[in-house]
Amino acid sequence: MKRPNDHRGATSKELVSPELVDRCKRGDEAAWSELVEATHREVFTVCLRILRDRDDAAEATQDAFLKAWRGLSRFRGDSMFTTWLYRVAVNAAISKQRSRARRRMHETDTDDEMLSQVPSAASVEAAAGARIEVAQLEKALGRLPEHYRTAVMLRDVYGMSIEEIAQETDISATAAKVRVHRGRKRLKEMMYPDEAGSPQRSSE
Amino acid sequence: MKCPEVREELPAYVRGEQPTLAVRRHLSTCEGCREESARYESLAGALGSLQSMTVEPPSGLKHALVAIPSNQGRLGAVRTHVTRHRRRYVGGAAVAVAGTAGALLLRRRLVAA
Repeated sequence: MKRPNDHRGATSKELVSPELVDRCKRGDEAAWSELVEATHREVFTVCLRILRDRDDAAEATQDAFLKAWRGLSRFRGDSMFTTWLYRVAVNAAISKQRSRARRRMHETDTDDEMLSQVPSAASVEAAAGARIEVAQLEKALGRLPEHYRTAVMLRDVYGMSIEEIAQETDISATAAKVRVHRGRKRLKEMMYPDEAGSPQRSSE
Repeated sequence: MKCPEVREELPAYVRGEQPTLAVRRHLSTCEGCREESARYESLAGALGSLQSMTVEPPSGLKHALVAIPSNQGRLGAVRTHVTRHRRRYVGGAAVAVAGTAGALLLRRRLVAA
């Protein structure tokens, strides 16, 4: 069993070297193309997880890369480039989330299906040998109210801090903490419906 | 501390966050709450593993991204490009739903044992 963080394939972090970023800064279009190749799936997926709509996610991805290209000169390399790019992507997706009308709800359902199209064997080992089906988890995430989903996703999928989430979603740190907390609780109730009831016994 | 109070707090104690002493005391004697706590841990672990699982973007998106440097400074050009593509994406999505799983290809870097 592999640990969740033990990726065997090359990740975008490994594929994006500081040299590649420097070449992009100098306007090297071949380097930019390489950078896009290494990172665009992850950026698109972050946007899709936030927006649950492929068209909106594609537009947010374009906004993010446009912003990244223009902001490259300001990227000083004090953090990992991919971390910076993730932040830019989250920011673009949340801007789109705010600006979009509540339209095309039926298509949103379709996209939840798309995120659930994980090979059926995909499950991750949970404590005590239990397994969590990835497709079921994506579906449950899709059913969370939007502001809970965004908070849980940024915290637990993408590992952002409460302060970063508060900043990105324009709420207080306390509110961000509450959203993560309630989102986790709802998600647990959806994933373990049988155990959602009251405790079997009460003890001190 | 009683179970209901403890369970209200449990969602906070994942990813290395340490429970308060009162909660730890309760957990040491209550199997039900320990199991509940383990469920939150499992969930956090599973959520973390999603990061490495990516969804294949619509065809044409990469091309539009690669073209950004040649369009730079001309936001209008980029925007028009996006809008023109939007219709295509919608059409593409319909085709994907109707016929093929191609657009749904999922790159799975994490191999579950």
